[in-house]
Amino acid sequence: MGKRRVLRPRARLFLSAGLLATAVGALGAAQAPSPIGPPTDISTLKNFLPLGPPAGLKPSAVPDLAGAWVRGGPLQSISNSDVGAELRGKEPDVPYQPWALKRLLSEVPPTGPFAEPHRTTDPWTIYCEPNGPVRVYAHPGRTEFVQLPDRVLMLHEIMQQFRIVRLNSTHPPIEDLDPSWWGDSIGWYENGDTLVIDTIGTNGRAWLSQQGHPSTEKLHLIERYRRVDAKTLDFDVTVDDPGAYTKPFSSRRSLRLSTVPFMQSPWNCSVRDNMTFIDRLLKDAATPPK
Amino acid sequence: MRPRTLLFATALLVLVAAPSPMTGGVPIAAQAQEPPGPPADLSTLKNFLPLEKPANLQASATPDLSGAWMSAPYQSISMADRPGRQRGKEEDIDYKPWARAKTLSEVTPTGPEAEPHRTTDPWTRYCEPNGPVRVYAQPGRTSFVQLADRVLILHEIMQQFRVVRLNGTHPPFEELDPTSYGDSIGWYEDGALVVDTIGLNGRAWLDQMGHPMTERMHLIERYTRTDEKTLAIHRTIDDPGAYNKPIVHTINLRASPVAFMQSPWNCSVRDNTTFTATLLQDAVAPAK
Repeated sequence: MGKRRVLRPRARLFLSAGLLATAVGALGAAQAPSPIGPPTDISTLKNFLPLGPPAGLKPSAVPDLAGAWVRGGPLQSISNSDVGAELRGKEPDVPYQPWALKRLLSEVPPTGPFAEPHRTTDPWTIYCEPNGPVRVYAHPGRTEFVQLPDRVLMLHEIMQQFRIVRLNSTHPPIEDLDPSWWGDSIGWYENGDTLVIDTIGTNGRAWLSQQGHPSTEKLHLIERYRRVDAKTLDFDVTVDDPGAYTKPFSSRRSLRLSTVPFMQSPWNCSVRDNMTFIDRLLKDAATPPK
Repeated sequence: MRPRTLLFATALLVLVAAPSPMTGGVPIAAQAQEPPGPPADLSTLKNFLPLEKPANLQASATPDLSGAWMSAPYQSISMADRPGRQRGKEEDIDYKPWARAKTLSEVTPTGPEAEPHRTTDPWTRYCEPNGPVRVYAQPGRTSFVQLADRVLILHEIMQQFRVVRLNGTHPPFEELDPTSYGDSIGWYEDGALVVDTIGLNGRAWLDQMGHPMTERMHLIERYTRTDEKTLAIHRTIDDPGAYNKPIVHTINLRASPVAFMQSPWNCSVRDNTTFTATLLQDAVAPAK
């Protein structure tokens, strides 16, 4: 450690070729723009919404969130006004930044009206990467809440993954967080019937929906879970990502109580199996024999 | 069959049937055999050990398993050959022939024979779950959440969990849908947590050396807190599909001063592929 790194000949050659290509191809580069993405320095962007519980929060009874919860029906989009994803990219309630709109439209979704599963760019389908805290509910897996005095554990059948929500706590400074798929979550109870979860520190790699809505490391997510009756859990998520959207927006959905016990059908994704499925079945389906 | 497929199949048949001067008359296909696999009908094999808690189990105090427990990475499931230098020849592993051949056919990611740039390891290549045995071979922390009716085992590796139903029973074996972590029941015995697992899908390696398992595996783990900072795990791997008798293995986890989940480890096939393509291959084939 501390030694100056010496470029190996192959790397030097590659770097030289790269510089040459850059110089010669300046005109070409203008015709083939670099990939779209969020602003280079997203640490300067301000989040729109406060990070943490409201001042003067009154003590609240603890709502009973017990049960195995599953989505009510297919969830294609993050948009409330375009649940079926027919308007992909033109939803009136999704305030895209230009790069985020372009990124969305460049993705090939695995499901929905624009689906091309055999050539999808979906990181979940292709690489089995974690869905993250928003998109996990787009899949037909169950979720269970384990409510402890100091934290809530959220257990997902999808990939058999968990989240930890620290109750009545604070986030570390965002610059101290190592971005991850599920981020850092704190939470509190409100009004005797709602669990509120506040998350930062996600790595911006997971899609927010089946359609490819992007996020960045600047994402600040606020989830509100309210049990409206014995079999229904309302889930309201506010997406506050100044790296990708011009203002916060909300998405509302409901989870229903499942009659199937939790973990009777865990779902572990396999890249190997997905590749086989795509190669042997989907491609044949997409290109029928002449 | 499409014409191109028919042509390929015909070519393959000719290649397999015809002797070749390069191989002295032995068909090429015979020289590059896949290792044989487990017996076709695993369901007839009997496990060696009972699939339930002992009759007349005495009431036991509940051990305190709280904390963030850090694995001490190990190479092999063999107690006689922990570093993995005797792969395939360990004196304490009684292989079935196919299982030894399978082990030796695997290319390991770590250890004395490691070739990480061409490993066949499903965890390294495909980020497939490690399963309940191998997860402790990775440098991640584990936390136990002890509830009245179950114990949750939380792993930083892949941020995955297991549910251990206390004082429950397994469903009939034939009704289980095999999974990466299987179906686990547990009980407290002599101050230890005992976890009994069946219903594994046989896809994960048992360790870094590529020791296989089958769907017939029956795993028994005993978690004992031997002192404030040490959690011993004694495992009995009972897999009549792959081994002629159970394998026993003990590891010690240590209490970590780093908070649980400060460093979750989610594997990414994309990142691993980039790493292999851009870094490891340069390291393996240095420039002339």
